[in-house]
Amino acid sequence: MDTQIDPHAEQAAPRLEFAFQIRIDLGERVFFGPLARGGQQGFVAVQGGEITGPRLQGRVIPGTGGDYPYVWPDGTFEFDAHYLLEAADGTKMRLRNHGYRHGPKEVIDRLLAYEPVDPSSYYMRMTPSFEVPAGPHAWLGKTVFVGTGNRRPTYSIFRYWAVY
Amino acid sequence: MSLGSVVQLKLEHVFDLHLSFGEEQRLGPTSLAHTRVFYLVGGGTVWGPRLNGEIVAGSGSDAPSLNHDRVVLGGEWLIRAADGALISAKITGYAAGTAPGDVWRADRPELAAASLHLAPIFEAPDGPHAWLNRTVFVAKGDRLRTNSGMRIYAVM
Repeated sequence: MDTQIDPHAEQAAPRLEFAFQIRIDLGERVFFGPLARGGQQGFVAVQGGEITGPRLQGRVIPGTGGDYPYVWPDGTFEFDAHYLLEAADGTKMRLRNHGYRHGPKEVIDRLLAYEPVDPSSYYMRMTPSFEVPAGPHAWLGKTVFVGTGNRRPTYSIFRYWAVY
Repeated sequence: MSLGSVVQLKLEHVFDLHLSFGEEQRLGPTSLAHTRVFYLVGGGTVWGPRLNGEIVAGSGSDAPSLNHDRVVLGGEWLIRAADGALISAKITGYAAGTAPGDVWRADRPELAAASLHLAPIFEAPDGPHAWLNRTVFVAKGDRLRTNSGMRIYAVM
């Protein structure tokens, strides 16, 4: 019989370590709906981009995917993105990103109009996951990440932290 | 506030989970996962500042994939909150800090403990628990063969 784990046992809070940021160059944003289940379906193609930071450098491979956000009837954005990255050493990898954005309507309206918005005035968080070949980047496929993003007219910048 | 201002992410401890598991069943090796291990969720407790309740016995399974180079966690089961609301929990993540193939090895039970890094997703009805639907979570925990404990954090 196993020991019973005590989930309330004192443990250090997870540590967030900044890993890298990705600038994603975007095509035209498309939305359609209302869907039969309510809400809207969005799409934006990934046209390229750059990865910079302490733990990964490289590029976003143009034309390999995009974000397919589902816009809930209450306006919440649920991100659902996938596309390919290429590290500086040539390693290709797949990124999937899932997360949410919501906030007071006046803040989101300003954000959608690309006006300056205090990033603490709305919620935008995501958890990316990676499919990576064996080798120096394999850790990406075994690590939980969290991130946030900054939306601009022709690109977005996502910053990712590894959770330890 | 300038456009490029950087948000500092914060982790807020929201609740803890304790799960018990039924008999272990193994499938594989398969071409998708080296071995897939299934456990029926036998029940458990949910306790913490933002959610209290129980894990519904028999409401789902925990099914890690033991790959050659990593252990990918996958589970889905129901929470019944103290007010009676049913909430689905979908668990994804990795077992960390273990040598390849060592966890859940029938021949070496002393190694059947894993440190878990998770990104759970919850689905809750409208009402007091709806915040679970639109929040990103991470969790850390420990896994033995018969039970598991996790501490859940909202990413704020």
